[in-house]
Amino acid sequence: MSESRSWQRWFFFLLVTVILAAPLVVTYVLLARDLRAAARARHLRQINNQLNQLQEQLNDVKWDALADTYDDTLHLGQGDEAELLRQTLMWYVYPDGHSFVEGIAVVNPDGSLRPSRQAAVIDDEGQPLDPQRLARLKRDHPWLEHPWLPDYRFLARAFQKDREREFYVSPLLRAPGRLVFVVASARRDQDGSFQAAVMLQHSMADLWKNIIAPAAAGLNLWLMDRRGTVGIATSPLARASAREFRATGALERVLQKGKAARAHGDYGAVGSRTQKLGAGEALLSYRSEGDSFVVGVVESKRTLGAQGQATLTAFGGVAVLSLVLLALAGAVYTLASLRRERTSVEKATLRRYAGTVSHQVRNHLLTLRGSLELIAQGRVQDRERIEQMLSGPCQEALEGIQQTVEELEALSRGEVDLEYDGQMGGSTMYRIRPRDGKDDEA
Amino acid sequence: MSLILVVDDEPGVLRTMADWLASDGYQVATAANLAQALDFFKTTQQRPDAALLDIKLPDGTGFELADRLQAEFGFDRVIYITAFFWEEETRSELVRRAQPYFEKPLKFHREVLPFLRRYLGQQGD
Repeated sequence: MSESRSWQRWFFFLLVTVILAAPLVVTYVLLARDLRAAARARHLRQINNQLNQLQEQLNDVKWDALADTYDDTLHLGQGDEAELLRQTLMWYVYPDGHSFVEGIAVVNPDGSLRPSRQAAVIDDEGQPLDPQRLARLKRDHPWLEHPWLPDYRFLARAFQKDREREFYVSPLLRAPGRLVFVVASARRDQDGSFQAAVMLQHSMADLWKNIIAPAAAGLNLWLMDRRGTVGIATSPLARASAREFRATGALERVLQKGKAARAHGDYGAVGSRTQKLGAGEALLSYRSEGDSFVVGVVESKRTLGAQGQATLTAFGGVAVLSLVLLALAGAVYTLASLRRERTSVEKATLRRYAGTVSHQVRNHLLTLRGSLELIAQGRVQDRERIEQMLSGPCQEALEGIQQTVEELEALSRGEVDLEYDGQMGGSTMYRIRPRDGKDDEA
Repeated sequence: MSLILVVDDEPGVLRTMADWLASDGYQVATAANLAQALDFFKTTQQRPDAALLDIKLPDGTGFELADRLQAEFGFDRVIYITAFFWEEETRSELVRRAQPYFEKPLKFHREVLPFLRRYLGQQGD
C-alpha cells in the first residue's frame, strides 16, 4: 500500500476525531463561560452583601459615637459631669474576658483633657469592675491611663475655626503603637463660642477586630480615610488596589459621591471599578461611610469566579478522557483497517504482477513457437537465416523466460519488491524493482 | 499483395510476426508503439489492408490506437492480439468491440494465417 494512502487514512482518523471533539470543546467553552459568569455574579453578590454590612456597621460606629458624645455635651459643666463620665466611660466586658473599649474624654478649649481616669470603671451591670480584671485591662489597653494622642488641640481648633460645626470625625491619626480616629461633639455657649468637646476615639486594631474582621474573612479588603491613609489592607493585592485608588484620584470622586449620598439619607457611595494592577486586572467594589472613610474589596479578575473551576475541571477531565478513549478506539480501528487493506493490496499487487509475468512469458512463447513453427513448416529454409533466428529472437526469448523465473524465485525469497509499471486500462501493472539501480525488466 | 501493419512493443514478437506474414506473401509494416503507428498513417498514402494491434503498448492501448485510427483515418480493419485475454476488463472490451482478436502465443499456421486469408478475401496455399 502506498505511503500517501496510509497518510490519507490517518488524516481521516484525525479529522473524525477533531469533528467528534468539536462538540465537547464547544460545550466546555460554553460551560466555562456560564459557570464563570454565574460564579462571578455569586461572588460579587457575596462581596456586595459583605460590603453593605460593613458600610452599615461603620455608619453605626460613627453615629453611635456622635450620639454618645452629643448626649454627653449636654451635661458638661453640670454638677453631674463626674457621674456622667463615670457612667459613659464604659468597659463592655464580656463573660469570655474579651472587651470592647470605648473611651470618652472631655477636651477643653485649650486642647487639654479632663482626665477620664478619675471616673470609675464599671461592668455592663453598672458595678465596679473586679480589681484584678481592671489591672489586666489597664495593661492591655493603656488608654485607661494615658490618652493615645500626644495632643488634642486639633479638635479644639476644628470647632473654633468653624462656629457652625457640631461634630467632628477625624481622619486616621498615627498614635504611638496604633492608628486611631476621633469622633467628637462640641458644646458651645449661647454666642456659639466653643466651650468644650466630648471625644470618643477608636483604634483601628479594635475596629478591625470587633467590626470588620468577622465580616471580612478571605477578602482582599482595605479601608482608607479621606486623606488616603490606609488603615487596613488585608493582602498585597488589597494594598496595591488601595494605592491605585488613591493615585488615580478615585478617592476624591468617591468621597464626593459619598457626601452627596449622605445628603440623600444613604450611608455613602456605592460602586465598583476595574483596576489595572501589577498582577493583572482586578475588580474593586467599594463603599464609603459618608465622606469619612472608604472600604474596598478587590478581586483579581483571573480568580474571580474561580468557584466554578472545580466543576469545570471535572467536566474537562471527563471530556478529555472521552476524547482519549475515542482517539484510542479510532487509532485501533485505523490500524486494523490499514492492516486489512495492506493485506488486500498485497494480494492485488501480486495478482497484477502475475499478469505481467504471464504477459512476458506469452510474448516469449510467441517468439519461440512462431520461430520453431516457421522452421518446422519449412517457411524458412536458409541455414544462415535459421541460425540467425535461433541465436537471435529465440535466444532472447529463452533468456527472458529464464530471467522471469529468476525474478519469481527472488520474489519468493523476499529479496526484491514490486513496483508500479504503468496502467493497463483500469488495472495497475507491477514489475520487479530493479536491483542495484539497474533495470532488470525483461 | 496485401499490406499488413503489425504494432507490438516486443521486438522479438514483432520480428516473428513479420517473418510469418512475409512467409505467407504479405507485405508487412511494423510499429513499436501507438505514436509510430499513427505516424505510419500520417506519412504514407498507402493504407494497410489490416492492422494487428497489441493491446498493451508503452504509450497507450491497442483500443485507444484503434479508436484514433477510426476517428482520424476512417480505418477500422483492426485485429487485436493480446496476452491479457485472461483479464476480465480486456476480455469484456474485446467482446464489446466485436472485432477479431488472437490470444498470445499465436498459432500462426493453424489460426492466424487461415483467418487472414479469409479476412482479406485472398486464397492461400
